[in-house]
Amino acid sequence: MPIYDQSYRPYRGIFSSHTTRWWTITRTGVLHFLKGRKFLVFLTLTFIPPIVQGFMIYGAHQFPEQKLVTVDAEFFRRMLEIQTVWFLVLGIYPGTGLISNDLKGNAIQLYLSKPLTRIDYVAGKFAILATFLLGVTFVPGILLFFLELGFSSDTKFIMSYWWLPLSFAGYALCAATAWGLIVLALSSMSKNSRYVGIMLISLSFFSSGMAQFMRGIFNRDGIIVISGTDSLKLLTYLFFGGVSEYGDHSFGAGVALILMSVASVFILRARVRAVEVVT
Amino acid sequence: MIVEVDKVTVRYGRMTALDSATASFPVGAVGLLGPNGAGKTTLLKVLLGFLSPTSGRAQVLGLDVARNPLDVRQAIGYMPEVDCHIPGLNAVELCAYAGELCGMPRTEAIQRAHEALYYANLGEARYRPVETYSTGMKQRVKLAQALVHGPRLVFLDEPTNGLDPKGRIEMLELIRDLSRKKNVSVILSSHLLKDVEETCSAVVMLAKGKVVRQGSIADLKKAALDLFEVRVKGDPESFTRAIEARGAKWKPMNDGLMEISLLNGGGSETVFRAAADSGVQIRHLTRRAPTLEDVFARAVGAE
Repeated sequence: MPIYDQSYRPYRGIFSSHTTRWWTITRTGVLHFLKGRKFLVFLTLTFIPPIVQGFMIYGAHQFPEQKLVTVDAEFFRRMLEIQTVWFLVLGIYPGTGLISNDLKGNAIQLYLSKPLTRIDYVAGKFAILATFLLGVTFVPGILLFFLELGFSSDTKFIMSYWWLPLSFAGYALCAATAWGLIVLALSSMSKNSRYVGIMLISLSFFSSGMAQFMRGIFNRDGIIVISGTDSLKLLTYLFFGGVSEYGDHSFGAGVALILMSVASVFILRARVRAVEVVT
Repeated sequence: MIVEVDKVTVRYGRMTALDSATASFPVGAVGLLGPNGAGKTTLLKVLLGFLSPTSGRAQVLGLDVARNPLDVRQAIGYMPEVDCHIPGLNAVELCAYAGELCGMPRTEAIQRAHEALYYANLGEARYRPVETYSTGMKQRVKLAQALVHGPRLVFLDEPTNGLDPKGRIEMLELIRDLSRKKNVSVILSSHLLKDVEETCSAVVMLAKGKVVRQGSIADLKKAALDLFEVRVKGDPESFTRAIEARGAKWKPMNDGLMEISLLNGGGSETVFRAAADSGVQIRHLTRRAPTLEDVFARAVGAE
């Protein structure tokens, strides 16, 4: 029957389980952003550093006598540290608008009038950002790992660094979780995504500047963990070994990120509501 | 009964939005009436599971709202009062998305979105981004997204807000069609008595957070009050004093007529006795059928 001949009729089909509703938000959100040409260009740009590193791996195997680069855990850690720079950009777009645009359009009430919980809503939105964050960390990391494995003529590399995929996964998950929650919490604090973007940039640069300033005053390197972006970089040492220029503060960075994530969850809990109760 | 509310109290800090409200909503179209701030939207939000009542319980389609909020929201549709849309989506995408959020498969959701939008008279405009719509069109999209998953019951919160006269008539026609021909029960929250009278068969009236009247509109009108239009010859002031002494209320009308509401009953005999006591002649006396407005005014006035 053509659509124009159809009137309203009861729906007699099936409904999926409640537990997968968050995925609808994630899938729709990810596809929505991937439709944007500018965003696709940006995502392509994020792969330039790993591609360069891919050529370095190639060069290291083709011209071993030149000793261009040593492909070890530090090589991959550095790759992730570079990729973490994209977190700020992804936090600004698409991150800042994820909840603030819904607040602007009063859409949260619309979402929560469906059979969704607040956790489903936040999980769905979080997974949109997490997908892109994992896409710029875990995906290139694991691809480079397999590239190196493909070029290796013996088992030395795999015997020494078999744990690297786990480290990629561990770091990418922890970093994406912490950063995703921080960005979502900021996004829930204003109806204007531009303000959220400004807040995110200010917070990132201000906390980093403040951390360096306090480090200078108190002469304690550990203070650097108060900066979210610096903590993300320090966290790479927890998963890949080594010591940063500030000393071994990777565990402190992990604790700082956990605290920031917990604070973000509390903000989201307070801000994501179907009704705004003013007493 | 499709909805039952039992002694529900909702407090926001010191303010009591719902005060031990008890009501039953029968199948069909039921109006939720009340002046602004009466607690209508609060009651709907309790029924949707958005707000937890301070005390009391509510059941929707036999489901306890506090225990099964997701099952309740699966079975119902909600058209919010405020302007709301998901930025960046056109009407088809928004309605299909709403269907998917209710658990419908994507292809079914898209087909139902088209049907619901056609039903809501959005036609070809359905491919435009929702933020570019007029108020009336946004109201239609809100209705369509509430219907897309085929609910048995829809909550419509002030659905005619911001509509021009033509849009209002079309919206009321849709609501009538839903409840009478499509077998979808409707709870219509409004402060517009005329909208409720034109679409609903029953009503629940709220004032200051309390349920002040409920039942079928026909029964409420019947049991409402004796209403008379009266013109007297003589001193009208002594007549109004005499009629007030008999527990009646009056208000002036055009042409020297006055409307008399006999709160304690008694019929035309009460009017004649008051006239005799005050020494005036009755020159005109007709009984007037009470409107929903009369019922409402009396219910709210009593509160």
